[in-house]
Amino acid sequence: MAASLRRHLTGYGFILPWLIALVLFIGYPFIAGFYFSFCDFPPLKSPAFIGLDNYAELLEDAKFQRSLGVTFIYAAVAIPLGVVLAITLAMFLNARIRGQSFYRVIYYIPHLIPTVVVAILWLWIFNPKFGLLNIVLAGLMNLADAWTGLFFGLGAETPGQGFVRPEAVALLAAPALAAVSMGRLVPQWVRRRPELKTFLASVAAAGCVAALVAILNAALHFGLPVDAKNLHSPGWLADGNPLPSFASFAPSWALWALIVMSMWGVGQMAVIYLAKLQDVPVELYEAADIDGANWAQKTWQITVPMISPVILFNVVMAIIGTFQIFAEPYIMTGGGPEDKTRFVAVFVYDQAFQYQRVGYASAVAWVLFLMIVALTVLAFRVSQKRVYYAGR
Amino acid sequence: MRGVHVGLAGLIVAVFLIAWLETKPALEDFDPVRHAAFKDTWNQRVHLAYWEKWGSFEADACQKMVDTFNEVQNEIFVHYLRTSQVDRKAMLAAIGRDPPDVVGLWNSNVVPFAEGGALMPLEGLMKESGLTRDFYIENYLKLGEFEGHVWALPTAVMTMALFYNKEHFRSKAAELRAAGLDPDRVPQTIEELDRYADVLNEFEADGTPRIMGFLPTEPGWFNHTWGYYFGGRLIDPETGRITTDETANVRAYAWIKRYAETYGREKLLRFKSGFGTFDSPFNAFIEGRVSMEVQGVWFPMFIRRHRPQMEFGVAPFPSAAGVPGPRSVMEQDVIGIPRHCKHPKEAWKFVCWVQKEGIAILSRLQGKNTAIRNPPAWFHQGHPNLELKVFEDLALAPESFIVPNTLVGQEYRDEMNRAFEHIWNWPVELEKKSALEGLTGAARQAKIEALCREEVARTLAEVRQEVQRQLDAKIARRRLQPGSAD
Amino acid sequence: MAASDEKRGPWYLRACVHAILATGALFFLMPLVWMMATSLKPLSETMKYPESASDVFFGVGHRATVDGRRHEVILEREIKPAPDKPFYVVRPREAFSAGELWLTFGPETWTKFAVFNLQELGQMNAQVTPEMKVLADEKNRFDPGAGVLTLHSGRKVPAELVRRIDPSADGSPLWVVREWRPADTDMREVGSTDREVTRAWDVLPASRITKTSRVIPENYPIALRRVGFLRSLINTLFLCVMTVAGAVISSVLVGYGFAFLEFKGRGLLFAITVATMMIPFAITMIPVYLLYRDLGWVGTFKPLWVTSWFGSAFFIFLLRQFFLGLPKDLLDAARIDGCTELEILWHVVVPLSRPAIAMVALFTFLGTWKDFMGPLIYLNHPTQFTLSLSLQAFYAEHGGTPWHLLMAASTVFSLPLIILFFATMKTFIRGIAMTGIKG
Repeated sequence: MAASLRRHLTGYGFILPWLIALVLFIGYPFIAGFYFSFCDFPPLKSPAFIGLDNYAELLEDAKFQRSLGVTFIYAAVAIPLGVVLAITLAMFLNARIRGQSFYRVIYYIPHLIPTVVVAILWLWIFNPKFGLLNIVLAGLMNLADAWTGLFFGLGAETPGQGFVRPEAVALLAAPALAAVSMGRLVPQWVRRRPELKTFLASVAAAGCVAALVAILNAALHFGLPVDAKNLHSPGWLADGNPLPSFASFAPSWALWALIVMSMWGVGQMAVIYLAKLQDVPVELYEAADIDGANWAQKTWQITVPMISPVILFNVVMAIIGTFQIFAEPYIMTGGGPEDKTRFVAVFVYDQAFQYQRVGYASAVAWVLFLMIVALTVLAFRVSQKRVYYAGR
Repeated sequence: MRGVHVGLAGLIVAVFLIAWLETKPALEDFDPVRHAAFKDTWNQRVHLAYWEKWGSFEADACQKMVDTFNEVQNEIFVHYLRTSQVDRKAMLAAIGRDPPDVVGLWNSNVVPFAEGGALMPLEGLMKESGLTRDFYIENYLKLGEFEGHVWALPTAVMTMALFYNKEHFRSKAAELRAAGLDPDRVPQTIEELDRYADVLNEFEADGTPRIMGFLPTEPGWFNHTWGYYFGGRLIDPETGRITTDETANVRAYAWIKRYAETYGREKLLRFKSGFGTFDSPFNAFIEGRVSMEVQGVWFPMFIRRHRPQMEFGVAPFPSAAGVPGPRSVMEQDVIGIPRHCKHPKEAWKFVCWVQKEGIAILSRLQGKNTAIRNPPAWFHQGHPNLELKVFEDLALAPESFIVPNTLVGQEYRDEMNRAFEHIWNWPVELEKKSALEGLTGAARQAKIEALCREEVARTLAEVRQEVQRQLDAKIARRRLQPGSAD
Repeated sequence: MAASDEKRGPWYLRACVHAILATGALFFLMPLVWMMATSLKPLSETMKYPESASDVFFGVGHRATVDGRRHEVILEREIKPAPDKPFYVVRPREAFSAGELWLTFGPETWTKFAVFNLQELGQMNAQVTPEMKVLADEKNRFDPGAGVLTLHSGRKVPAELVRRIDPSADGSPLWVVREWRPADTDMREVGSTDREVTRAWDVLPASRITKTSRVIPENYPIALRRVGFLRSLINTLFLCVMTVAGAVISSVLVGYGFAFLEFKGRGLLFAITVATMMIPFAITMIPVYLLYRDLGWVGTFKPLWVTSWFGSAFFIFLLRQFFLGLPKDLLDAARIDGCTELEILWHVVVPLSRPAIAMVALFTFLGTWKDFMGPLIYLNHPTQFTLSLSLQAFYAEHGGTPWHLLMAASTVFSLPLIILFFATMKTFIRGIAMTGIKG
């Protein structure tokens, strides 16, 4: 008896710090927060019980609804985009080329930059007049105009020549090449080399994109919606209008700016995906090659399922993380043009420390907690069928 | 005991010691220059922390005032700690029960701090020290009062006026005369202002504004007061009801919208973003990109700092036709004593001296007008602000106004700023395209004003409902908490 | 990582991948390059729309010979003179006030021009003292024969001619140039009234001014001084050391406990641990803040590092998983030898877990270095500020934003982490992989 008691005590002794933390720094605040959410509590006075009033107010509070909307819209756009980008990057990094570790380092570095520096740096980059982004965009726009000018007559220099130049026929080359490489008209010597086919397919894809750019740019010059022209040096963080402007629930320019900024940090997730990708047994790919699978099938049916646990982990952590985004909006916009970047964490901070409503802030925090739990459970449910745990 | 156990125990003791021995930084240790200068009395004095804002020469002015106080007496030494975002930091410090002894805020912070119990009421101390109401210009004292208590006293005050670029007026004299306007005079009503602005506007080939006749978004801190120049009010001073969507206010913000559309929202974004703040040579007005704008009493100092040769004039901002004037919003920086500070008695001694003698020094060095009704004679001699008279007259003008202190002052401001941005950015060109077909110039602007009125009225009504709701909720909750005066 | 040669794809595919990765890397690094480029520019260059690609990264500077010496100059004003009006640079022999001088060159040029010691002009009613030079023109104001300067106020002041500037014959523009020193790059210093600053100036044709690129490393000392870098660095390092020590010790202890020791409720407690990772910071932030307030810890460093000594769910989870992967027989052997648990931990488990522990240390260091919200709400005195907070306070200061100084401070702030990363790259990568795989 004494021995097993001693064993138990030793065990508790080892985890004692964590037990204290659980009680003092997590458990007590958790319950205290719950109690505060039913009180009116200016932080320099004592809490006064008011029942469900805070929660009732929450339901009506337009500002809270806006904050929630901002957070959800951001999550809906940034998380899928980030996952896709990270996986794509990881797949490229996984290609068998020299210099993989070099590229890996470069893509990881942005994650090492402290948050405050990132906020201030990107504030400067998004500066609509002198910032790097608009300068680069202006340069790209000029490039695009030059490219389009080869095929279409922008600016009406020579009357009578018409809008579409004869050279525009060349734009059809790329789609034709794509059709050829995808379809049956593949000559034998190409079919024998699947990498050549992939290469031609990607060249064709790039060509299609270029052709599309030319056509779209020409259409823009012809006079399409006003907001498309806004791509010339947009206002970014100062602009609260949605992009694209016909969708009122779309993120505002300011929110898009924050999304672009978070894409800069995908390197961290990409490295994790890379590690997992390298764990995928090569035999699976070889078997697929023997069965004659093409690149798309290999990706969707081997790669993605094999890394799906990491994807799930990534998505869940990202969801939780979105509800905690504070430093960037606080420093960069302070809540944004028309509350368009007032994430819920900023909202809670404001309510507690500026408007001195700790009770209300606690109620908001609790509602957020329930949402996170719900979303996480949902994520796990959805993933049960899709996520493949090798060897479990 | 085996080695590992000893090691672990030692580690825990060491950590405990480090935590225990940490001391909060003592004020006295971080100013070696002044320590040397005042070394005789350094240790006998009570050291106070004074958190205040300001940068560049304004900070120097405040430092001079503090230095003067430290020199004229031996019991107290005040440390002026330049703090950015001083109101946020002060609130955090107050909540954390670690506030400074004296704090400088803005008048918009008075009610939130007072309501939260973060400030000490000063009216009793004022009576003891002989500071009476008639020492001050009434409005400036009112800004620090709430519900019968004085929570904060003025330091640097301000009024706002119309700044106009004389160089532009001169170079466009012919066009102005052709439009029936006098280039040697300033607009006397807002309608006249619009006509002046129409002539003074210049545009590039693609429609981007090169010079803007009048830009209402500068300076950007008082966007909630535009209605007053049209005869409207934000709050009914007798009943305390929120009156955001009065007709005059709707007119005012529709008028604002006309300027947004004149210059084009997107183009304006690009134009505006390259501007610096008021303390920068790239400020819109200083650069000569804006012909007329509303700015405050501090501005001539900054203009002369960055572009000394600039020719500009200052006149009271006109009111709409039929609205009595001249008028200006009156706001200020305030000084207060946080509750639970370490040395309240000494803090009051400092604040009292600041009121009686300090603010004259401060206002003069910062180039501003002062809250004192009868400033000492030396105040006006060689005052650095050559345009002071306009601002002083505005401070005493009967029509000049303050936004009365309410429980929802902060929220009201925030909502009004949001509404202003919304109105400014609302894409009327897209939404009402058909109604605007074929109209140009002044006719187009007038039509835009008319079309916007509905949206403006709706936005302002939204603000009113929201703020009224919050006000009612706050009043209801107050009954649960003990009053703010204890 | 390196595959055998025959497994590598054909050269054109590899070239494509290289191209794509290189372009992506360029875009990813561009912000950092921009940050460093801006940090080396003078302020006026940051607020200029670049005219060419090199302007984006290098500041444009000008050099000219003023007062017999070559200086970096700023182009103050362009003057397009009438061909028959020369300029005079004169030195008055009596003092007069700035408002009394008013020059007319004609409607298309300056109507009021004087170049003084700028600091003096900062205090209004400035006096032009006899040592200063003043720009005058012939017909209206300066009589070279009599040596008399007639001011706009009507007063006649004796003055001596310093230089006569004839406008160039072809009417090409003249520039008023002023000497520029790197210290001018700090906006706050220029404009502070208690510093006297004199600069040489002159009026020169454009041909005598050469364009150079201007790189201002002086931005760095100025920025670091204004941010209070050394003190903030010490504070941040202190916090990092304390949190790393705490996190490592507590996570190892608790992880060991969950992995190897049996006690009642172990499974449940571990499940709770994992669940707490879901609690958003916002929920516990306020009550924890109030708790610290009642303990009197607000305004000290304690709230920022004490919690790390009690463990963090994430690291406990990771270390437990790692420990479970260690070979069991070593531990059993040690137990048979009669070691206590602490000794097994120290002598057996820890040496085997170096990579995992290093990873915990690294990530904690990273987290504390970057932390912003914690210092924001707990630290009140500027001397306690960490690097994050100092940088943000610097940004939020009243007045114009000195981007060049901000970028200089930011560069210095980010460098240590990057250097640390390169120094410990293997551990880092392995740690990242571990978090992913165990997840």
